[in-house]
Amino acid sequence: MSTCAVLEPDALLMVRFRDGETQCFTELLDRHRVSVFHFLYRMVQNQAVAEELAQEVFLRVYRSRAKYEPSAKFTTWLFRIAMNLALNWVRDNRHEQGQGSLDEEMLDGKARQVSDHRPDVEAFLVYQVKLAEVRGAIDRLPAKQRAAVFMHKYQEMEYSQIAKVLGCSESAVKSLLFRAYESLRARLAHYAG
Amino acid sequence: MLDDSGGTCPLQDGDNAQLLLDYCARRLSPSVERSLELHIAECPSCQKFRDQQRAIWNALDVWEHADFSPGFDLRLQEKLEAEARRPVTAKAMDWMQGVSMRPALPLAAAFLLWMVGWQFFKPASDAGQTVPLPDPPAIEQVESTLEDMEMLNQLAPSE
Repeated sequence: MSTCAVLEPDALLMVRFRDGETQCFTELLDRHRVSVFHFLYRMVQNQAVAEELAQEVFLRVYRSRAKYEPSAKFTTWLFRIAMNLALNWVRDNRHEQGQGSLDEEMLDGKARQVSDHRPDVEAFLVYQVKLAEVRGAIDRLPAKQRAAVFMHKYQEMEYSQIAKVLGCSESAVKSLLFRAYESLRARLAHYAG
Repeated sequence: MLDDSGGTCPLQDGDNAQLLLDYCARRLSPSVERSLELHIAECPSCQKFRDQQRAIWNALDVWEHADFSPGFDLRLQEKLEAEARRPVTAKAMDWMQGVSMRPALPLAAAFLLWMVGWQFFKPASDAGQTVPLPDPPAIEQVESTLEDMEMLNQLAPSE
Protein backbone atom coordinates (compact mmCIF):
# COMPACT_ATOMS: atom_id res chain seq x y z
CA MET A 1 0.00 0.00 0.00
CA SER A 2 2.85 2.32 0.85
CA THR A 3 4.43 1.74 -2.57
CA CYS A 4 1.14 2.64 -4.24
CA ALA A 5 1.13 5.92 -2.36
CA VAL A 6 4.37 7.11 -4.01
CA LEU A 7 3.63 5.88 -7.53
CA GLU A 8 2.77 8.37 -10.23
CA PRO A 9 -0.87 8.14 -11.35
CA ASP A 10 -0.12 6.29 -14.62
CA ALA A 11 2.09 3.73 -12.94
CA LEU A 12 -0.55 3.22 -10.28
CA LEU A 13 -3.15 2.61 -12.98
CA MET A 14 -0.85 0.10 -14.65
CA VAL A 15 -0.23 -1.69 -11.35
CA ARG A 16 -3.96 -1.86 -10.72
CA PHE A 17 -4.46 -3.19 -14.24
CA ARG A 18 -1.76 -5.79 -13.60
CA ASP A 19 -3.62 -6.78 -10.47
CA GLY A 20 -6.84 -7.36 -12.38
CA GLU A 21 -8.68 -4.04 -12.63
CA THR A 22 -9.26 -4.06 -16.37
CA GLN A 23 -10.99 -0.66 -16.45
CA CYS A 24 -7.60 0.89 -15.54
CA PHE A 25 -6.30 -0.09 -18.96
CA THR A 26 -9.13 1.83 -20.61
CA GLU A 27 -8.16 4.85 -18.57
CA LEU A 28 -4.52 4.55 -19.59
CA LEU A 29 -5.63 4.24 -23.18
CA ASP A 30 -7.74 7.37 -22.92
CA ARG A 31 -4.89 9.29 -21.37
CA HIS A 32 -2.15 8.36 -23.81
CA ARG A 33 -3.44 7.11 -27.13
CA VAL A 34 -3.52 10.61 -28.64
CA SER A 35 0.06 11.49 -27.70
CA VAL A 36 1.35 8.06 -28.75
CA PHE A 37 -0.46 8.31 -32.07
CA HIS A 38 0.83 11.83 -32.74
CA PHE A 39 4.38 10.79 -31.96
CA LEU A 40 4.12 7.80 -34.27
CA TYR A 41 2.38 9.81 -36.96
CA ARG A 42 5.21 12.30 -37.03
CA MET A 43 7.81 9.54 -37.00
CA VAL A 44 6.38 7.51 -39.88
CA GLN A 45 4.48 10.32 -41.67
CA ASN A 46 1.65 8.04 -42.61
CA GLN A 47 -1.70 7.98 -40.84
CA ALA A 48 -2.65 4.35 -41.47
CA VAL A 49 0.76 3.07 -40.39
CA ALA A 50 0.76 5.33 -37.33
CA GLU A 51 -2.63 3.94 -36.30
CA GLU A 52 -1.44 0.36 -36.73
CA LEU A 53 1.69 1.03 -34.71
CA ALA A 54 -0.26 2.86 -31.99
CA GLN A 55 -2.53 -0.15 -31.66
CA GLU A 56 0.48 -2.42 -31.45
CA VAL A 57 1.93 -0.25 -28.67
CA PHE A 58 -1.18 -0.67 -26.54
CA LEU A 59 -1.44 -4.33 -27.41
CA ARG A 60 2.10 -4.80 -26.08
CA VAL A 61 1.24 -2.90 -22.93
CA TYR A 62 -1.76 -5.19 -22.51
CA ARG A 63 0.35 -8.32 -23.05
CA SER A 64 3.10 -7.15 -20.71
CA ARG A 65 0.84 -6.33 -17.79
CA ALA A 66 1.87 -9.41 -15.78
CA LYS A 67 5.55 -8.48 -16.01
CA TYR A 68 5.06 -4.77 -15.32
CA GLU A 69 7.17 -3.28 -12.55
CA PRO A 70 6.85 0.45 -11.90
CA SER A 71 10.58 1.11 -11.99
CA ALA A 72 10.31 4.14 -14.28
CA LYS A 73 7.66 6.61 -15.37
CA PHE A 74 4.89 4.86 -17.25
CA THR A 75 5.20 7.25 -20.19
CA THR A 76 8.91 6.49 -20.45
CA TRP A 77 8.09 2.81 -20.89
CA LEU A 78 5.19 3.59 -23.23
CA PHE A 79 7.24 5.86 -25.47
CA ARG A 80 10.11 3.44 -25.46
CA ILE A 81 7.80 0.81 -26.94
CA ALA A 82 6.45 3.36 -29.41
CA MET A 83 9.89 4.57 -30.40
CA ASN A 84 11.24 1.06 -30.94
CA LEU A 85 8.27 0.20 -33.14
CA ALA A 86 8.69 3.43 -35.09
CA LEU A 87 12.43 2.98 -35.55
CA ASN A 88 11.90 -0.60 -36.73
CA TRP A 89 9.27 0.54 -39.20
CA VAL A 90 11.46 3.38 -40.45
CA ARG A 91 14.38 0.96 -40.86
CA ASP A 92 12.28 -1.61 -42.72
CA ASN A 93 10.55 0.92 -44.96
CA ARG A 94 13.39 3.35 -45.53
CA HIS A 95 13.05 3.17 -49.31
CA GLU A 96 9.28 3.39 -49.44
CA GLN A 97 9.05 6.55 -47.40
CA GLY A 98 9.06 9.99 -48.91
CA GLN A 99 6.97 11.93 -51.30
CA GLY A 100 4.30 9.26 -51.57
CA SER A 101 3.19 9.51 -47.99
CA LEU A 102 3.38 13.29 -47.99
CA ASP A 103 1.24 13.62 -51.10
CA GLU A 104 -1.23 11.08 -49.84
CA GLU A 105 -1.47 13.00 -46.59
CA MET A 106 -2.08 16.27 -48.39
CA LEU A 107 -5.03 14.78 -50.22
CA ASP A 108 -6.77 13.09 -47.32
CA GLY A 109 -8.71 14.39 -44.34
CA LYS A 110 -5.91 16.66 -43.20
CA ALA A 111 -6.15 18.81 -46.27
CA ARG A 112 -9.91 19.02 -45.98
CA GLN A 113 -9.65 19.94 -42.35
CA VAL A 114 -7.22 22.76 -43.10
CA SER A 115 -9.18 24.02 -46.07
CA ASP A 116 -12.27 24.24 -43.92
CA HIS A 117 -10.42 26.61 -41.64
CA ARG A 118 -8.74 28.56 -44.43
CA PRO A 119 -11.12 29.67 -47.13
CA ASP A 120 -8.29 31.58 -48.75
CA VAL A 121 -6.81 29.19 -51.29
CA GLU A 122 -3.53 31.08 -51.48
CA ALA A 123 -3.02 30.94 -47.72
CA PHE A 124 -3.82 27.26 -47.79
CA LEU A 125 -1.23 26.63 -50.49
CA VAL A 126 1.38 28.65 -48.62
CA TYR A 127 0.60 26.61 -45.54
CA GLN A 128 0.96 23.35 -47.45
CA VAL A 129 4.29 24.39 -48.93
CA LYS A 130 5.61 25.37 -45.51
CA LEU A 131 4.34 22.15 -43.98
CA ALA A 132 5.95 20.08 -46.72
CA GLU A 133 9.24 21.93 -46.18
CA VAL A 134 9.16 21.36 -42.44
CA ARG A 135 8.31 17.71 -42.85
CA GLY A 136 10.95 17.28 -45.51
CA ALA A 137 13.61 18.89 -43.28
CA ILE A 138 12.64 16.68 -40.37
CA ASP A 139 12.47 13.61 -42.56
CA ARG A 140 16.13 14.10 -43.48
CA LEU A 141 17.23 13.93 -39.86
CA PRO A 142 18.52 10.59 -38.60
CA ALA A 143 15.66 8.67 -36.98
CA LYS A 144 16.97 9.02 -33.43
CA GLN A 145 17.44 12.78 -33.78
CA ARG A 146 13.93 13.00 -35.17
CA ALA A 147 12.52 11.06 -32.23
CA ALA A 148 14.42 13.29 -29.80
CA VAL A 149 13.08 16.46 -31.42
CA PHE A 150 9.49 15.17 -31.30
CA MET A 151 9.76 14.18 -27.66
CA HIS A 152 11.36 17.53 -26.82
CA LYS A 153 9.14 19.76 -28.89
CA TYR A 154 5.75 18.06 -28.97
CA GLN A 155 5.68 15.78 -25.91
CA GLU A 156 7.60 18.39 -23.88
CA MET A 157 9.62 15.69 -22.13
CA GLU A 158 12.53 16.44 -19.85
CA TYR A 159 16.00 15.54 -21.08
CA SER A 160 16.26 12.82 -18.46
CA GLN A 161 13.08 11.18 -19.70
CA ILE A 162 14.10 11.43 -23.36
CA ALA A 163 17.40 9.83 -22.35
CA LYS A 164 15.57 6.90 -20.75
CA VAL A 165 13.33 6.43 -23.77
CA LEU A 166 16.29 6.50 -26.14
CA GLY A 167 18.47 4.44 -23.81
CA CYS A 168 21.34 6.90 -23.67
CA SER A 169 22.80 9.51 -21.33
CA GLU A 170 21.31 12.92 -20.74
CA SER A 171 24.34 14.62 -22.24
CA ALA A 172 23.99 12.42 -25.33
CA VAL A 173 20.40 13.61 -25.68
CA LYS A 174 21.48 17.24 -25.41
CA SER A 175 24.08 16.68 -28.07
CA LEU A 176 21.55 14.84 -30.24
CA LEU A 177 19.08 17.70 -29.95
CA PHE A 178 21.71 20.34 -30.56
CA ARG A 179 22.78 18.64 -33.79
CA ALA A 180 19.17 18.11 -34.84
CA TYR A 181 18.21 21.75 -34.33
CA GLU A 182 21.43 22.84 -35.99
CA SER A 183 20.48 20.87 -39.10
CA LEU A 184 16.95 22.23 -39.01
CA ARG A 185 18.21 25.81 -38.62
CA ALA A 186 20.41 25.29 -41.68
CA ARG A 187 17.62 23.75 -43.76
CA LEU A 188 14.89 26.14 -42.73
CA ALA A 189 17.06 29.25 -42.40
CA HIS A 190 14.80 31.25 -44.73
CA TYR A 191 12.05 31.25 -42.10
CA ALA A 192 14.23 33.32 -39.79
CA GLY A 193 14.54 36.11 -42.32
CA MET B 1 31.00 37.68 -25.38
CA LEU B 2 29.96 40.09 -28.10
CA ASP B 3 30.66 39.14 -31.60
CA ASP B 4 29.83 41.54 -34.41
CA SER B 5 32.18 39.90 -36.87
CA GLY B 6 29.97 36.94 -37.61
CA GLY B 7 31.73 34.53 -35.24
CA THR B 8 29.89 32.58 -32.59
CA CYS B 9 29.48 33.43 -28.94
CA PRO B 10 30.96 30.93 -26.46
CA LEU B 11 27.43 30.51 -25.19
CA GLN B 12 26.67 28.57 -28.34
CA ASP B 13 29.35 25.95 -27.73
CA GLY B 14 28.81 22.54 -26.22
CA ASP B 15 26.57 22.34 -23.18
CA ASN B 16 26.14 26.13 -23.11
CA ALA B 17 24.07 25.97 -26.27
CA GLN B 18 21.50 24.00 -24.33
CA LEU B 19 20.80 27.13 -22.36
CA LEU B 20 19.84 28.96 -25.54
CA LEU B 21 17.73 26.05 -26.78
CA ASP B 22 15.94 25.92 -23.44
CA TYR B 23 15.44 29.66 -23.58
CA CYS B 24 13.77 29.41 -26.99
CA ALA B 25 11.66 26.50 -25.74
CA ARG B 26 10.70 28.59 -22.69
CA ARG B 27 12.02 25.99 -20.30
CA LEU B 28 14.21 28.22 -18.16
CA SER B 29 13.39 29.56 -14.74
CA PRO B 30 12.40 33.27 -14.77
CA SER B 31 15.65 34.38 -13.12
CA VAL B 32 17.90 32.51 -15.58
CA GLU B 33 15.74 33.72 -18.43
CA ARG B 34 16.19 37.34 -17.35
CA SER B 35 19.97 36.94 -17.10
CA LEU B 36 20.11 35.40 -20.52
CA GLU B 37 17.95 38.11 -22.02
CA LEU B 38 20.42 40.69 -20.75
CA HIS B 39 23.20 38.82 -22.51
CA ILE B 40 21.25 38.34 -25.72
CA ALA B 41 20.39 42.03 -25.86
CA GLU B 42 24.11 42.77 -26.19
CA CYS B 43 25.20 39.77 -28.26
CA PRO B 44 24.38 39.84 -32.00
CA SER B 45 25.47 36.23 -32.42
CA CYS B 46 23.06 34.99 -29.75
CA GLN B 47 20.34 37.21 -31.19
CA LYS B 48 20.80 35.47 -34.51
CA PHE B 49 20.75 32.06 -32.85
CA ARG B 50 17.57 32.97 -30.94
CA ASP B 51 15.82 34.26 -34.06
CA GLN B 52 16.71 31.16 -36.07
CA GLN B 53 15.75 28.78 -33.30
CA ARG B 54 12.44 30.55 -32.71
CA ALA B 55 11.74 30.37 -36.44
CA ILE B 56 12.33 26.61 -36.31
CA TRP B 57 10.14 26.34 -33.26
CA ASN B 58 7.34 28.25 -35.00
CA ALA B 59 7.79 26.25 -38.19
CA LEU B 60 7.40 23.04 -36.22
CA ASP B 61 4.15 24.42 -34.82
CA VAL B 62 2.82 24.42 -38.36
CA TRP B 63 2.81 20.66 -38.25
CA GLU B 64 -0.59 20.11 -36.75
CA HIS B 65 -1.45 16.65 -35.65
CA ALA B 66 -3.81 14.36 -37.45
CA ASP B 67 -6.92 12.84 -35.95
CA PHE B 68 -7.63 9.18 -35.52
CA SER B 69 -9.69 7.51 -38.15
CA PRO B 70 -13.22 6.73 -36.87
CA GLY B 71 -12.60 2.99 -36.58
CA PHE B 72 -9.47 3.26 -34.45
CA ASP B 73 -11.06 2.44 -31.10
CA LEU B 74 -13.19 -0.34 -32.52
CA ARG B 75 -10.22 -2.04 -34.18
CA LEU B 76 -8.15 -1.77 -31.05
CA GLN B 77 -10.99 -3.18 -28.98
CA GLU B 78 -11.25 -6.14 -31.36
CA LYS B 79 -7.52 -6.78 -31.11
CA LEU B 80 -7.62 -6.65 -27.32
CA GLU B 81 -10.55 -9.06 -27.20
CA ALA B 82 -8.77 -11.42 -29.58
CA GLU B 83 -5.69 -11.19 -27.36
CA ALA B 84 -7.74 -12.05 -24.28
CA ARG B 85 -9.19 -15.10 -26.06
CA ARG B 86 -5.85 -16.45 -27.24
CA PRO B 87 -4.86 -19.79 -25.74
CA VAL B 88 -2.09 -19.88 -23.19
CA THR B 89 0.12 -21.94 -25.52
CA ALA B 90 0.05 -19.21 -28.17
CA LYS B 91 0.98 -16.63 -25.55
CA ALA B 92 3.82 -18.86 -24.39
CA MET B 93 5.07 -19.10 -27.97
CA ASP B 94 5.01 -15.31 -28.19
CA TRP B 95 6.99 -15.15 -25.00
CA MET B 96 9.54 -17.58 -26.41
CA GLN B 97 9.86 -15.47 -29.53
CA GLY B 98 10.25 -12.42 -27.37
CA VAL B 99 13.18 -13.92 -25.51
CA SER B 100 16.22 -12.56 -27.21
CA MET B 101 18.59 -15.20 -28.49
CA ARG B 102 21.30 -12.67 -29.19
CA PRO B 103 23.36 -13.21 -26.05
CA ALA B 104 23.42 -16.97 -26.71
CA LEU B 105 24.70 -16.67 -30.26
CA PRO B 106 28.32 -15.67 -29.50
CA LEU B 107 28.47 -18.38 -26.84
CA ALA B 108 27.17 -20.99 -29.27
CA ALA B 109 29.64 -19.85 -31.94
CA ALA B 110 32.52 -19.96 -29.47
CA PHE B 111 31.52 -23.45 -28.34
CA LEU B 112 31.30 -24.64 -31.95
CA LEU B 113 34.75 -23.22 -32.73
CA TRP B 114 36.17 -24.88 -29.65
CA MET B 115 34.66 -28.21 -30.66
CA VAL B 116 36.04 -27.95 -34.19
CA GLY B 117 39.43 -26.88 -32.91
CA TRP B 118 39.48 -29.68 -30.40
CA GLN B 119 38.71 -32.22 -33.12
CA PHE B 120 41.53 -30.97 -35.34
CA PHE B 121 44.18 -30.07 -32.83
CA LYS B 122 43.59 -32.46 -29.95
CA PRO B 123 46.77 -34.03 -28.54
CA ALA B 124 47.71 -37.38 -30.02
CA SER B 125 45.65 -40.03 -28.34
CA ASP B 126 47.22 -43.05 -26.68
CA ALA B 127 44.34 -45.22 -27.72
CA GLY B 128 45.84 -46.44 -31.01
CA GLN B 129 49.20 -47.36 -29.66
CA THR B 130 50.20 -50.67 -28.11
CA VAL B 131 51.34 -50.15 -24.62
CA PRO B 132 54.12 -52.48 -23.57
CA LEU B 133 52.80 -54.36 -20.64
CA PRO B 134 55.19 -55.65 -18.12
CA ASP B 135 56.42 -59.07 -19.20
CA PRO B 136 54.73 -61.93 -17.51
CA PRO B 137 57.17 -63.90 -15.43
CA ALA B 138 58.80 -66.23 -17.80
CA ILE B 139 58.12 -69.87 -17.20
CA GLU B 140 61.78 -70.56 -17.58
CA GLN B 141 62.56 -68.11 -14.84
CA VAL B 142 60.05 -69.77 -12.52
CA GLU B 143 61.41 -73.19 -13.30
CA SER B 144 64.92 -71.94 -12.75
CA THR B 145 63.99 -70.48 -9.40
CA LEU B 146 62.32 -73.71 -8.32
CA GLU B 147 65.38 -75.65 -9.35
CA ASP B 148 67.56 -73.23 -7.42
CA MET B 149 65.46 -73.70 -4.32
CA GLU B 150 65.52 -77.47 -4.69
CA MET B 151 69.26 -77.33 -5.09
CA LEU B 152 69.60 -75.25 -2.01
CA ASN B 153 67.51 -77.71 -0.11
CA GLN B 154 69.77 -80.52 -1.28
CA LEU B 155 72.86 -78.61 -0.30
CA ALA B 156 71.55 -77.82 3.09
CA PRO B 157 73.50 -79.72 5.71
CA SER B 158 71.56 -82.72 6.81
CA GLU B 159 71.28 -83.17 10.48
